Amino acid sequence: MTAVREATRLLGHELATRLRTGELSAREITLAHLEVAERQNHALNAWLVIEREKSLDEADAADARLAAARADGPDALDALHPLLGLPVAVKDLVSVAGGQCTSGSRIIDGYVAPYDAHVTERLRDAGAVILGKTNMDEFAMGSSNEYSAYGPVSNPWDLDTVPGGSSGGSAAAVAAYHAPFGIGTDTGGSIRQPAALSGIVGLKPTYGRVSRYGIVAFASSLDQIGPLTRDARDAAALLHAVAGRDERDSTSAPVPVPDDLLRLPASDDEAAAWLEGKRLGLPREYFVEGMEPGVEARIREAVRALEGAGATIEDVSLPHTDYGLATYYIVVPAEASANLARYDGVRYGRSVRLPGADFIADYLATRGDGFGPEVKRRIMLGTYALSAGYYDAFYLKAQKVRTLIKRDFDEVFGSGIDALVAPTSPSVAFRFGARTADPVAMYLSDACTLPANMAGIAGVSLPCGLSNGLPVGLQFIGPPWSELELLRFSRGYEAITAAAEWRRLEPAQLTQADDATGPTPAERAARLAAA
Amino acid sequence: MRFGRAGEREVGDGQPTLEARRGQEWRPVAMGTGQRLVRVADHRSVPAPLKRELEADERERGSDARRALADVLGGVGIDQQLVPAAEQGDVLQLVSGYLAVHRPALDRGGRAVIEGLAGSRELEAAAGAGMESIGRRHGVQYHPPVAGLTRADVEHVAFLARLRLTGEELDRLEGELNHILDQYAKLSELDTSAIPPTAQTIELENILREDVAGPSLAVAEVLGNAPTTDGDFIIVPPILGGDA
Repeated sequence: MTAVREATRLLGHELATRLRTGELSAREITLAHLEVAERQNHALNAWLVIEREKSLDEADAADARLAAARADGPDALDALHPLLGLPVAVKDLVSVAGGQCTSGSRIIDGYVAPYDAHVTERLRDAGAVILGKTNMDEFAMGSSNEYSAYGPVSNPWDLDTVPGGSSGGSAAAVAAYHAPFGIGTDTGGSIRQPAALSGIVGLKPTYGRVSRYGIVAFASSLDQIGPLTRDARDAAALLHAVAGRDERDSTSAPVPVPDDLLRLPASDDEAAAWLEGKRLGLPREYFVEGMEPGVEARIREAVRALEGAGATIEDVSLPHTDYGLATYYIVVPAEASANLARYDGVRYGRSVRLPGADFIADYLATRGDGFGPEVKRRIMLGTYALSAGYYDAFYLKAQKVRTLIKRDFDEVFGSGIDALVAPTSPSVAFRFGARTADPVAMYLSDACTLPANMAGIAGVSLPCGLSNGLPVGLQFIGPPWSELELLRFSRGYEAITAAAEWRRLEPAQLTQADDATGPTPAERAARLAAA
Repeated sequence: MRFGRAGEREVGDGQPTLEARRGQEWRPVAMGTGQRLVRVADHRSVPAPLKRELEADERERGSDARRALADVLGGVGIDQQLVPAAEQGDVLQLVSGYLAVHRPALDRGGRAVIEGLAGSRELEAAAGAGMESIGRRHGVQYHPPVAGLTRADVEHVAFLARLRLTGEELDRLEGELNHILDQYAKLSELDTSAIPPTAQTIELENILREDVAGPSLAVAEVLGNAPTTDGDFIIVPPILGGDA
């Protein structure tokens, strides 16, 4: 009998098995995760709201569905979704009806979502339990969660370091066993980079794979929603739950979602055998100057392991990779400046009405007070890039370079490469304050992830070991609609490294996160800044 | 012309003195008239990608920092006598329109301020020339700055974006935005004249649906987040002209 408190250490698919055998109930599983999340939120600040009552109600509903299915027989049990009754940490820019949706900002503090996002509806259909909403960089702009209006998040591996961002809250929550499943969004790396820094799996699907209906918009031609989990099978199950065409998002693609996502092999031998004969490309431009030697070492070891399993590794070139940062930081702020124009305090959100002033003054004050520094930086960049006289030099130029970046990928995949293998982040988790002095230093955190967003293709990060005690992420990048293949690569890599020492380790400072009297992440950040 | 937290002052008959700081002291230095003063941003404003070049340059030149500086200052017509000789070793390079001060002893609050003299356009051009020659020595391409945002530009863009910014925010953003804009210069290396732009990576066009009303949100739900309402309406500030 699995002790309830050990339930949090189980993977999603392991919990799903125990739900079906009756060994654990959804209520017990939810209670176990609530307890950990509530106990550690002081030290980690991963959650903006933990919905105890609502999640227990959802758990009870899941238990009822399980009981009914059990009464109907084994086929009925099989027909239930793997996510049924299992807790999910949802990034706070996904609309959950009746709940908050701050997007990490003060400017929509108090906003109550009047409807469910498509993703939320799908989670409910599957019977998942939404444990709460997680912390994030404001409007998804950031790579460390330090730009949240609600304080930074600590990485459970070293509480003085960041979990990555912008989906830092979901990543930390999953890494700290608060939930087996997390939902994040990735516009320039905001699922994959925090997955790498926090030691978990994070997948960015192909643009158009998951509907953006009900997701607070950041950069509409790049935003994607995806899973954060502790293994590939769980990531596949969560993707399967939320992916697919939605009429309400006209950029959501009518591409069928493969049910094989739910059939990744349980057997390590079978998973490893799949790697035989696969062609992997190693893009030389991703081994950026300034990459930490420990990170490079882990990646090269991973590549050797994949070769040992029968995959072939070829050097490839994506010659326009180095232009990705500049291109991204024109296109994305431009799109964001348009998307964030709606926060004017007229229909929702923080509203400043100055007595006797005109409406422009109201907008100036509402927005000036409500947005944080990174958001303002990006709105300013975007406004400038799109303004009269600069559109051609900046935005149009960037869109053309975006074509070149996309073509690099098209050519490599067109030549028969099944997937690219690369580092996710050039460094491990960095300390609070290490990159906030120079915005470009922070932007460089995403140098290896943002090209895939520019091209609209899929990428996954998974743990491949530690460097200086902190997790290193390995990235697979694939052509459009290749999520199943990327997850099979991930599952295969998990299988060939199943015996690795580092897989047995829990995040190094997890027990310190139990201390509800110690410093909060914000206090740690302040202490480091003063040092 | 960008100077981080800088400003520009005209030198007139009032003869503001050039001040240089060594350690904690300020010492006045004589200077000429009729030329514009430009103040220098401090070390921390050096764009990170150029730090490497600066460090390599220092290694190459060794301790003889003054010779390189003299070359560069000469190129922009800064009268070296007005920059105290003792200070020259501290002023390493002209970087994108400002003098970078390479001095590890700079503490967090301290700031070395060296004021040189030049017309802003000449300084800009010479900064480019200076950096290009450094670049050639190291086989690194120097990119002249793409666009210089003045303080007035920053205020204008903030107004377009409907953001009320404090003076401190405007100062900071001027430096940060210019620093970020410098990164865009790299794109001019690419010939994209024959390349079509990509606005969307997903090849869908004209996704339509039947114009049929379906279930939607109740008015109360929609208005629930509005700051002030009256029945089925949201009360908004008037947008017509004051006396209209």
